[in-house]
Amino acid sequence: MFGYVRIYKPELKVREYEEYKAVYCTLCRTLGREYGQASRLLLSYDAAFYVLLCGAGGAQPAYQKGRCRFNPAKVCYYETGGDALYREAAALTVILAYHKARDDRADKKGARKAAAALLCAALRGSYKKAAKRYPAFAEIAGTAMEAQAALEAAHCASADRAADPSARALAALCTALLPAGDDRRVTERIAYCVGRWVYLMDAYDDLEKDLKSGAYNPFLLQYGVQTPADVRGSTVQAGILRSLYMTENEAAETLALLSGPVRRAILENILCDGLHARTESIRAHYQNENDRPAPPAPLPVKDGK
Amino acid sequence: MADPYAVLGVPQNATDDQIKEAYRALARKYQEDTFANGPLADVAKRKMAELDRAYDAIVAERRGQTAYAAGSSYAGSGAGYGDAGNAYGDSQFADVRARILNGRIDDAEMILDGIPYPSRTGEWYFLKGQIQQRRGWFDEAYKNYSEACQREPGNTEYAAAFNSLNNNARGGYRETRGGGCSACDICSSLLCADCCCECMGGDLIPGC
Repeated sequence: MFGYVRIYKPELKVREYEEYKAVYCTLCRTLGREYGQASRLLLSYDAAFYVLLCGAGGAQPAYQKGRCRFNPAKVCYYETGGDALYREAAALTVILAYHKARDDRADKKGARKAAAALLCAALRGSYKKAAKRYPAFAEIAGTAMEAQAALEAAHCASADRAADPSARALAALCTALLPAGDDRRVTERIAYCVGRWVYLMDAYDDLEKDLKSGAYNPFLLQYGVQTPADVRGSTVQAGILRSLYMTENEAAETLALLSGPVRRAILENILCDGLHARTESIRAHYQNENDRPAPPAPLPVKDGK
Repeated sequence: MADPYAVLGVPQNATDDQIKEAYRALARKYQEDTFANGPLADVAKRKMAELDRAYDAIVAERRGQTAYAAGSSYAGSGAGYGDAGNAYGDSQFADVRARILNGRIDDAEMILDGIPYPSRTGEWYFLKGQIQQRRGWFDEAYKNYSEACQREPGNTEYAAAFNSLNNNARGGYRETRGGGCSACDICSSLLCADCCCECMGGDLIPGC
C-alpha cells in the first residue's frame, strides 16, 4: 500500500496524537526485534492502521516511556502488552514490502528495476520467516498479486473491478486472525472500502504519469482519456471523485457499527477526516493546474520597426 | 451483557441531557437507511436494538423503577427484529431478492445475468445495483441505480437506494453529516421565513 491511510493531525487531540505515535514507535521496535534492525526502514502508516483497526476490540492499552534506538535524544512511548497484534503487523509489513518489491522488479526499468531486485533479494529471508509464521497473510497477498496482474494484463476498463483484488486482500488480511462475529464483518467492510480507496487514490494520483508512460491505469481506460487535457476535464474528475467519496464515506459510516472502543478516536480521525483530506489534496493538485492562467500569448512581431 | 453506559459511550455520572444527546447521535449513525442496501443491514439493526435497550435501561434505572444490575431485564436477546423481507409480493425477481437478502450475492448475480437484454426492467438494474453495492463496487452500483430510476421514475424504492448512495457521493463525511445546518438549510430557512413574513404583510428579504 502507499501510505495514504493517515491521521488528519489538525482534528486530533494531543493525547490522541501521542497515542498514535506510540503505536508507530511500538511497531517500529517490534519490526527491529523480529526481522532485524534494517527492517525498521519498512515501517509504514498502513501497518499502524492494521494495529488500530484490528486492535479496536482488544484490551485497553497501557504505555511505557522508552528511548528510540535511532534517536536516543527522543523520548518515546511504547505500548506494553498487545505483542501479538504488533507481531502480526510487523509480518504484514514485511510480506507487503516483499510483494511490492517483486512487483517493481517485474514492472520497472533501469535503475529502479535494479534497486527493486536488490531489495527483493534482501527481503527474501525476512519474507520466508514472516510467511512461515503467518501463512494466511502470505497466501492472501500472493493471490491478490496474481489476480491484479491478470486484470492489468486484460486491460480491465472498470475501476470497480480493478480495485477489487486489493480491496479484498486488505479485507481478508484484516479479518484473517479475528474471531467470527459482527465485529469481524464490520471490520471486513471497512477494510474493503479502505483497500479500494487506496487503490483508486493511487490510480487518481498517477493519472498524468500513467498517461505519459502508457502504464495501466483503470481510470484512463474507463473514461477513455486520450490527452493530458482530458485528465483535468470535469467529467473525468467528477466521476473519479464520486467513486472516491462514496468509498471513503462508506468506510466512515461503517465505523459506527464497530463495537471495539480501543483508540476509537484515532480510528475515527483516520476514516472520517484523514481519507478525505488526502483525496482533497490530490483534487487540489488537479484544480490548481486548472486554475493556473494560460501562458500569455506571444506578442505579435511587427516587422520593419 | 454489556454495560448500558458503555453502549452509549458515556460515563456513569453523565447528566440526563448528555445521555439523551449520546443516544441521539448514535441513533443517527445506526439509521436504517444508511445501511439498508449494504451487507451490514442486520448488524445495524442489532446495534440499534442494543442502543434502545441500553437507553431504556438507564432511563428506568434513573427513575428508580429497576436498579440496573448486570444480567437484569436489560439482558434482552434482540429478538423481535425479524426481517421485513417478504414485502415484495409482486416482484418479478423474488428469487433474486431472496438470495440477495441471504447474502448469496454471486448466485443472485448469476440469475440476473441470465436474463436477456430486452427483458431487463428497472427492477433488473436496481437489483444489479444492490449486488454491486453489497460488494463495494460503488461506481457500477451508482450507474445501475440511476438507470433503474430513469426507467421507472416514480419508484420510491429505487429512488431511495439511489439517493442514499448519492448522498455519499458528495465528499466530506464531517461536512455532510457532522453539523445540523448547512448553507442550503440556512438559505431555505430564510426563504421560508421571508414567505411567512410576506403572508403577514411584512418582508424579511426585500425584493424576494
